[in-house]
Amino acid sequence: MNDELLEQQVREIARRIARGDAPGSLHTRVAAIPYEHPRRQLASRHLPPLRLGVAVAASVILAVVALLLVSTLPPNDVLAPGATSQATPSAALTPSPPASAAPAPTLATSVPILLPDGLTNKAWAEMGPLEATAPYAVGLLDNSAHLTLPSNERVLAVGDGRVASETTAFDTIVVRDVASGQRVAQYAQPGAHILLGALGTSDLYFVMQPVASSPASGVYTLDLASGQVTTLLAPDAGRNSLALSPSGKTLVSEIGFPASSPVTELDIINLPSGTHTRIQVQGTAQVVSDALVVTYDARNLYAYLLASGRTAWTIPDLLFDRGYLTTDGARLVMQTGMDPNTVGAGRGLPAGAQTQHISIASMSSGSLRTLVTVASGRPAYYLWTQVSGDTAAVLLTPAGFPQQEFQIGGGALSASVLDLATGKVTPHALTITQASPTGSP
Amino acid sequence: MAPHDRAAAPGEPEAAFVHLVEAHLDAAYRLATFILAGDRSEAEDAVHDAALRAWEHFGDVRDRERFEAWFSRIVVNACRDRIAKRRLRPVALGDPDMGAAPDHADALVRSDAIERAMLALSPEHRVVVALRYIEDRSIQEIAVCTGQRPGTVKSRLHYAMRELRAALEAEAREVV
Repeated sequence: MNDELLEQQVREIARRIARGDAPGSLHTRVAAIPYEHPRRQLASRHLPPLRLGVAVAASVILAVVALLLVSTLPPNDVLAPGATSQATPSAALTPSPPASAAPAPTLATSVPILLPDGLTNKAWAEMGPLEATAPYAVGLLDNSAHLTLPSNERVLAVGDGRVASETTAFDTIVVRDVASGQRVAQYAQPGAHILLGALGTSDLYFVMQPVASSPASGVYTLDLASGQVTTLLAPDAGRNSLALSPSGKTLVSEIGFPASSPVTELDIINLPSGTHTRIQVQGTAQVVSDALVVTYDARNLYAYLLASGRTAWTIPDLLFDRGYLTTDGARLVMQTGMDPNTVGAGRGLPAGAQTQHISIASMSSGSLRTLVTVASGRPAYYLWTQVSGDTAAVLLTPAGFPQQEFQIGGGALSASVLDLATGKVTPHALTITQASPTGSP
Repeated sequence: MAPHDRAAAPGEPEAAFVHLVEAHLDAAYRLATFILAGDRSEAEDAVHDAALRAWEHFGDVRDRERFEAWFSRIVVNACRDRIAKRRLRPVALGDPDMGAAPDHADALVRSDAIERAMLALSPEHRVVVALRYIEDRSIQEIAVCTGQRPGTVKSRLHYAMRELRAALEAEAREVV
């Protein structure tokens, strides 16, 4: 084997060993560092004794206040695997401060573009062009409105024309209507750490550690009309993800950080009835319908029945990148890849080739229909799940995250549209612009 | 100037720090995963340690354009610290996370041989292999990241590749 070939193999294998993005838990931990370790506190080792004493006393007072806050929350409610219980949907938490407390985003509006059927009323939220002061940009797919969030906010969830964000202190949630930029609801829990969110039509569901320094987190709902927050699951464990079914009736919360364990526990909450079930699965939760949850363990895609926790089907040997469920929960539209050195071995792929597929899986059977195949060396797609729909999917080209696309396009994304019935891709069918802000709502 | 390396808005060091680290977090995690022999849990902790150290010294960073190289160096040092503190278990072949396939095609056998040899490299050799072949860094950039002279980097790369080739040839002899 010559040097060049050896180097090529070393590169491929090294990347395979190292492959994978940083887990969500690492993103959360790192994002918390500046706020959990203020630099003035880090410098406290240089403080004279008197100032250090004051700092210690202040810390003790804060700890006592935090303990008092915890004592007002409901007690832990741990369920054994497979057990069922009534959730506790009545425990109201601290009321939000006046809505005027949150800084306003900047809003830009323009004439909407004409969208293909199935892609109307879609909102997106992404990291924006980095030269902008605020890191998060939010918009409607038809370009009719664009929000630039205040620089101290990051996006928790987007959906149904709304965006939920949290402040970088992690203790305040703001929900806004994207078209108008107006606040819909706001909630603050001083001393807490809000981790995850999922937006329904009338509620924001979120995972929160009531005490930032304790990993025990619970699941809560914020009623967007009344601003009332109730506890769905009391804090009992670290939680890693939150997914809402397209119907808005089923919520799944993943317990713990399963990167180090082959088995994952999922809390399944039936929102209309308030019942709660815990099941064990392989892999991490990706999407949920009202009957099934789909998980992925870096090699196989599984679907589990929510009612029993039994495996409904498995799709072996694929690299699952991302996916979304159609609104009826019947089809999973997904972007997958295949690496000939691992999952594609023995399938006749040339060495070094990596193919990409956009496919639809039947949620009832797991049967696959591939719509798009991109061969090795060709520009791959990025399935933009936030704005894709039941009859058409939005693909970004060339492959890249929207953030990068904004960079390349100078504030504009060029997107292709995939017809899910025929598999036809219309290149550059949409241009999503990020108009300059014109003022604050 | 790299797209992520914008200067922080005045009075917002926290937001600027999170923004910069977030932009490089995936790459840092992959780098740590390889250096720590595929142990993703250790890699996560190492990158977290590195981010904490980076935050402690963030005020010293004058040139945000060089944040990536600076942060990579901290990540490499955090990995070295973890290796020094305890002997790390190499990830066994066949671990589902590593994606080994139940197939004995020649290409797969070769690939497995290199993978085993790669995980058996010394930590310092893994560092240079990671920076060269995962991050595509030049010898000069690796020297900056590792705090070594370019000659030392070249030498370590040379010996690492020699070990990998030897492992491959040994595997070929066994197959014959």
